[in-house]
Amino acid sequence: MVSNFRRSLRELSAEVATNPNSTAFVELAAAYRERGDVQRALWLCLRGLQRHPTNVEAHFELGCIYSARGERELALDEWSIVLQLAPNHLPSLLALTRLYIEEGRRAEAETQLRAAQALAPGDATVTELWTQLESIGEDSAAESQGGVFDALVQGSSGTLGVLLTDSDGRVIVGRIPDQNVESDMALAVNLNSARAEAMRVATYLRLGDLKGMVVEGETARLTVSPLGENVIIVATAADVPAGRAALVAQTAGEIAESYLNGDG
Amino acid sequence: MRSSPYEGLLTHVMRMQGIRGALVVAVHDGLVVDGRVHVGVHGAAVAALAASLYRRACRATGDGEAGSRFVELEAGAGRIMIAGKGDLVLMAVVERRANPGQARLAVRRAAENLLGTGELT
Repeated sequence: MVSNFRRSLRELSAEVATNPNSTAFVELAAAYRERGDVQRALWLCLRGLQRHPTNVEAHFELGCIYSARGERELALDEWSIVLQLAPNHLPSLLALTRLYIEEGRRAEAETQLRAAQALAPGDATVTELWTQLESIGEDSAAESQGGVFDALVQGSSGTLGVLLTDSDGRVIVGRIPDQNVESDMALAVNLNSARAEAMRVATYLRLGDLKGMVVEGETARLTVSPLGENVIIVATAADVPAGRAALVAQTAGEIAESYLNGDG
Repeated sequence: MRSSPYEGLLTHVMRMQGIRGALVVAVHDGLVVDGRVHVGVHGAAVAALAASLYRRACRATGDGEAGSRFVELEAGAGRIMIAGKGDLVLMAVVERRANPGQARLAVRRAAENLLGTGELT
């Protein structure tokens, strides 16, 4: 239950320190997060959840902390846990809607927002999110179309599209039509998370720097290559030979480099 | 001694030069179902990380959860290859000196047999 009365950090810290069973750690973690100390907030929340693994507000707060750290997939996981524990948790429905809107995942955003609207029909945030949702189709298309890779895509049979993203998974330029893979923004975010995971695996196994990653599904192959701080993603049809896909990825990298240097 | 249904395919993959480890992993929870690893490779940790990577990579290729997939990451000193379908995958840690083409074939072929008896056909 959210209280209007907010206690000071000192009071909350004292309660958490003297009573390990207290759930005040959630409020304390939120206070630290709001002050920008997300590392301490994360530590508090994870430690509190060890004692209170089904505390709904703690999972919600952990999602907010992950979101503040830019760890969208983890945030999504936490808010999904909340909805498993408490399907009518409005803040989680709204948080998930926002996250999906930011990633351009219109259908998923709409599902969450409809559930939120059923719970709070007159809520101002719900109304505002409907407006945002209605505009994401045009926005995402406008943002991602750049034509930079058009000649490459049209000239290489079986190439579905190319995306250049920053290290946070935001699309800089390019487009991958969604017949075979997810929407551009969702794809960029998912592959960026996968790349971060890949770097962890490579580091753990002392395999050195990550040079690239290939993900093959039944209909498409995604080639993910680092380009400085950015990432280039090339989608080809699954029946395109791997060697040819690698060549397309290499050319896409060169085009992206020119674009970033302002030569394009 | 306990024998696993995956023994045959794991032995086949590990027989290749430059393979540091081969594991059959449950994608859903990242647990090792069976595996062979060289000294210095912590199988359980690698499996957990690889399962997480595979799950995230799968979300990007939109073929549904049950489709077959192959994930390869290339690093300076070697590669990780993960192939599977549904909840069971085979992953291999491949050193730089290994022939990547042969390793890919071996991993894919072994993964195709995961849902069967585990024996190579």
